[in-house]
Amino acid sequence: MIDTLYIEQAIATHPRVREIGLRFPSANQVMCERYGAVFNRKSQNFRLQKKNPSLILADKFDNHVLETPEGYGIGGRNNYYFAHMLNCIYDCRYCFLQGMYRSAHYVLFVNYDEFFSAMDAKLMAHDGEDVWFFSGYDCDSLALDPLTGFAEHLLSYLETRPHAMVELRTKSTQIRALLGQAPLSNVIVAFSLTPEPAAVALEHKAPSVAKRINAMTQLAQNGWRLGLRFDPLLDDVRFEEHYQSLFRDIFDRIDPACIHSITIGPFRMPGSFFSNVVRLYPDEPLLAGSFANRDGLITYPKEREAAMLAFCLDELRVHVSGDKIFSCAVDGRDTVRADTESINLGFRSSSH
Amino acid sequence: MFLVVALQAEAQPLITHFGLRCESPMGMFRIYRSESMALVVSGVGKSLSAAATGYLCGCSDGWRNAPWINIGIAGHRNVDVGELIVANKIVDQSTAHSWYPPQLVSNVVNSTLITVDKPEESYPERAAYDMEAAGFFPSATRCSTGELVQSIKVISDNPHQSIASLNARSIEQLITKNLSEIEQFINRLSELSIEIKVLPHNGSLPESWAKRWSFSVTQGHRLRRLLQRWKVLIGDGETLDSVLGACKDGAAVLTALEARLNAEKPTYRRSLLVGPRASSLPDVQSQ
Repeated sequence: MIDTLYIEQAIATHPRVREIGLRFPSANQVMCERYGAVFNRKSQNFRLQKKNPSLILADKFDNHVLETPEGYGIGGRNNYYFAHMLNCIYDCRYCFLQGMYRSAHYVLFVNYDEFFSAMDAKLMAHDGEDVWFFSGYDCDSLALDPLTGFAEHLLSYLETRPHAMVELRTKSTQIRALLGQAPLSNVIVAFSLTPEPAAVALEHKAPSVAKRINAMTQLAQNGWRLGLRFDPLLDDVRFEEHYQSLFRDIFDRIDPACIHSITIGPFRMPGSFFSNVVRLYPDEPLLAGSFANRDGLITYPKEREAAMLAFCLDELRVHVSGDKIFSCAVDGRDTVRADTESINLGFRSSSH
Repeated sequence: MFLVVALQAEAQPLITHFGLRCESPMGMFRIYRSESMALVVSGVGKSLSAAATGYLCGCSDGWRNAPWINIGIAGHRNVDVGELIVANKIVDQSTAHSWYPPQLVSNVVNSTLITVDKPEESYPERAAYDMEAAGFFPSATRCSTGELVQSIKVISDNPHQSIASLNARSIEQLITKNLSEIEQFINRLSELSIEIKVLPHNGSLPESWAKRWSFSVTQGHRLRRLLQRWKVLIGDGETLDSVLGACKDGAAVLTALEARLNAEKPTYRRSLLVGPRASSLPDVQSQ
């Protein structure tokens, strides 16, 4: 439920804004000049706002599509990311967004067509080559889709662009838009997963792991290609047992042939974001744990991280071939076994 | 809880209801207090409101991340006299600068609030009009987080009921009629403030520690975080003396604490601490 809807004055009459406004007839509508005046203000507390986030409807002027950090990818050469939304309806305690943004309000950029134009420009720049676009870095790609309808527009756009490869990253079970149409070979629906006890403890408001696996099963049955994202890997005294159980639960239900790619990434967060999150949640056991600062990035101690990655790699290769597995480790090429060739460095933060 | 009110007539019902007592001697502004609340009477206008907010902060403890509320009367083009509104946008008419107090309390009537330099009698916009909020809000958000800084106004005049008809008695009545709603709002903000009053911001280390070991400022910051971690990961299950007993100086304390905490096995679990947490640091006996 949204109590307050902030709307940029310039897009007040945009059809999508009107449509969303109608979905929240009792919400207070507050006009603002630019979304930053609400979203980027100092003196805001992410933790408090998470209790009742507002929705900000905005127009994105530029930087619709950005290059991913060097080395990030799942096998492609040309990698970009975009975010039609900022922030997420879930409240995962390890998420970097809570350390990156001052506000927990959701920002929805309503000018979808300009995202697609920017994607077209990248396709032109890499004429004839596959270009990867990662969605769901600054938000969950599907969680608010019943409200935004973004997936439907994106899928329609992708139908005629076979070289535009898109990853939709999600913890959501909002897959109606996908099930309502024929699968697209240039779309990967990538689910973020942690062992159930971690999800219960840390992924507040997110669907259970069982529900996510259920959604994946339905998508696979309908011909959609799936991604598995074990990012961040979270340590526990029974780490091996929990991850073994998670992998077993997944591959008991999902045919490995439906899996396009798997990424594994240990917990990592820029130091400044981590400090912000600790300030917000000093009472959080996860954040009180043992971490190292490696060149400004907060991670598990190097040896422990390497052990966690190696274990998961070994376990996953029981189910799928190594060339489908990618690492987001800070120094992935050093810490993960040399015989896994298709390893990439990841985003500088764990995904959410 | 800190209240900033322009007029004595607006303040009086609050002073009576919350059992506040006037502080003496009086300084720049008149301040009333109870154990849990302080109220300042600022006078009319945004400059005085900003000044009084700063003054109250300077004269008080516990102001950081506490609720700060500006309470008063306002005119409105479309709202009935006697209704209570919470400002979700504050506009300084003279500069066109806007602020957006985040709205976390549900089931209240919200409105844009325009702060004017002279009383507004024609109500040109669908908004409330006051003379203080644009001074109060930027000043109070230097003391507390925006979610806890709010302006609530009782509508005192509109196109059908002129501002000219207001006097001290009618203003007191308007506030009095809304005391229950005002108190509910105050209580809700207090609950929210408890959630984030986790860190002892101005806390000093226990005296016994200062006698035994000395810590630089940087070491003090590190120590506080280590003690937070101790509280979360180990709690009362083990005494600090068992780890720190042999430490000869501050650096050794930090090393020993860190080593002990890093040896703790990670487990997936939720935070179990509730309420006004970690308001004190774990104690250690002095030698």
